[in-house]
Amino acid sequence: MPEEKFNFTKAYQEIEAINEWFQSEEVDLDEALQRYERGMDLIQKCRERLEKAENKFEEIKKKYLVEE
Amino acid sequence: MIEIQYLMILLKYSHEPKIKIMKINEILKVESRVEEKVFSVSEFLDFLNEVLKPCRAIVQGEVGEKVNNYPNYTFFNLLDKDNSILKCFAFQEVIEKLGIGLEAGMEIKVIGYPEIRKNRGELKFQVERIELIGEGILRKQFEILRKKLLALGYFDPKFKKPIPRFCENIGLITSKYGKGAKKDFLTHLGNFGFQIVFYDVRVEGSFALYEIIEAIHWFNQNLPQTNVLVLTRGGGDWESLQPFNSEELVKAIFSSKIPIITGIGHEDDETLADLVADLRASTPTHAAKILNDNWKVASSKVYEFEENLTSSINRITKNVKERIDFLQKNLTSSMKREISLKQTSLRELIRNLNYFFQDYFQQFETLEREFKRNFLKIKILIKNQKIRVEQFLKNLIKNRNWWKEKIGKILKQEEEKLILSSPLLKLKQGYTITSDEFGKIIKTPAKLEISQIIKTKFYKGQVLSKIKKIEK
Repeated sequence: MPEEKFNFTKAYQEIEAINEWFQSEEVDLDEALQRYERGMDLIQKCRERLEKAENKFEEIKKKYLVEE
Repeated sequence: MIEIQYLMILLKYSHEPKIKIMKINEILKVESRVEEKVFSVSEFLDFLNEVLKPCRAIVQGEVGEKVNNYPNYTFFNLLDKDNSILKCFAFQEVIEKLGIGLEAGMEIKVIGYPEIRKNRGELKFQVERIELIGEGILRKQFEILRKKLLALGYFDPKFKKPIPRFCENIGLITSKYGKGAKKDFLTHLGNFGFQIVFYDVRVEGSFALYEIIEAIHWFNQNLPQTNVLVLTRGGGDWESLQPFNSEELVKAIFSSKIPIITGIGHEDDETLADLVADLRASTPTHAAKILNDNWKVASSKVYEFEENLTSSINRITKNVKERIDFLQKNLTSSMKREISLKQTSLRELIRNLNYFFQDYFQQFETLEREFKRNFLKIKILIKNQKIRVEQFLKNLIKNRNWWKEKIGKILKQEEEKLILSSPLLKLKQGYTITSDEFGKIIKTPAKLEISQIIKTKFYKGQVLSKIKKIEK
């Protein structure tokens, strides 16, 4: 299966959910480790996305209806 | 002729009509290059209309006295102070979009193209759009359109599309000139890896409206993955905001699949575009802030999450480790306790088992004794029964002779009785027996007749006699 394209919104929402899960009282160690690993992976990707952030600017060449 | 045809093709596909008009003039002047061509009137007017149609223009003037309204269209004149007249023709929808009716004396701008009506030989300006002039009337028009569109539901919050939390692909629709709306927006947007596609449009004047609508359509058709469109322009007077107060733009914003944020003019300038927009930013700077706010928060939050997750996992693993240590210490003693408990219960089980079997054997012995005792009883009973039977048989044999003698006596007595009653004995004593010829014994002479033969039997022999006399 090809790796899904990174989606910041989805990743960030998942991190929020993981963070919230860790706040709950009783957590299972195996699950905690799994979620921790997933969370750190996503955090890393989000950080990369934020740190490498360079706006790209493109101008559309279009026609005027009437010349100025 | 060839050149004219070539020219017309150029005109058809040209979007730069002014330049092409120049070329016509040039060519018409250089007659030697044009083959002599004689048009029919109709052909010539068609030719002229082909040339005229791309000459879209904005003309400003005053509406003349005669405004002829028909159900589907309206004729009116546009006048200048020097009495120049431009005859205008507008379809009803153009008048309806204006919001208010055309009246003589109104100062207006018409946008359209010229056309020669072949049947009248008259030049008519084909009006595509009318714009009002003067703040007073514009505000009146704004209010009419606002109420109309509000009633039609265009501003209803339930139709507003949500702006994605983290917009990455932004379509920017504004002018590259103007008073810095584009610069303000880009400066305040910040660097969060935005993909900005900028579509340059005029944001003022009569053609701005068409260009903005075209830009919205362009994004929806060519870049539908765009997260948000930002339609923005800097501040200006009320009249300059006209493109944003038109019914056409309201409809274009409403039907865009991509959500649209408007940031038009100053905070106080609320246009119809702002009312229909999915989100209204007061200025271009504010629009930028709306888009980068979540990114800014995320940038700091992501580190916070990292710390939270790490401390959480450390806390959890520490807890687990402590629990393991505790369990290890307690395991030995608890196992011992468990084994001892098992031993006790095992002993208990064996003891119970012994009790049970002892009882069982005792029962068995009792049964055995009972059985022996009963066996003896039966033996005695059989023996007694045997004696009784033997006794009975003995008695039976002893009484046999007694019975024999008794029966003999009875038989003899009966025999004697029989002998005494025998007719032979009577015959012997002298008695006879009389019978008819057939041996039937006669006891009375009643049925006898004279001369009938009768038989008389004696002890020894018999006689046959004929009856002589009967005495009854």
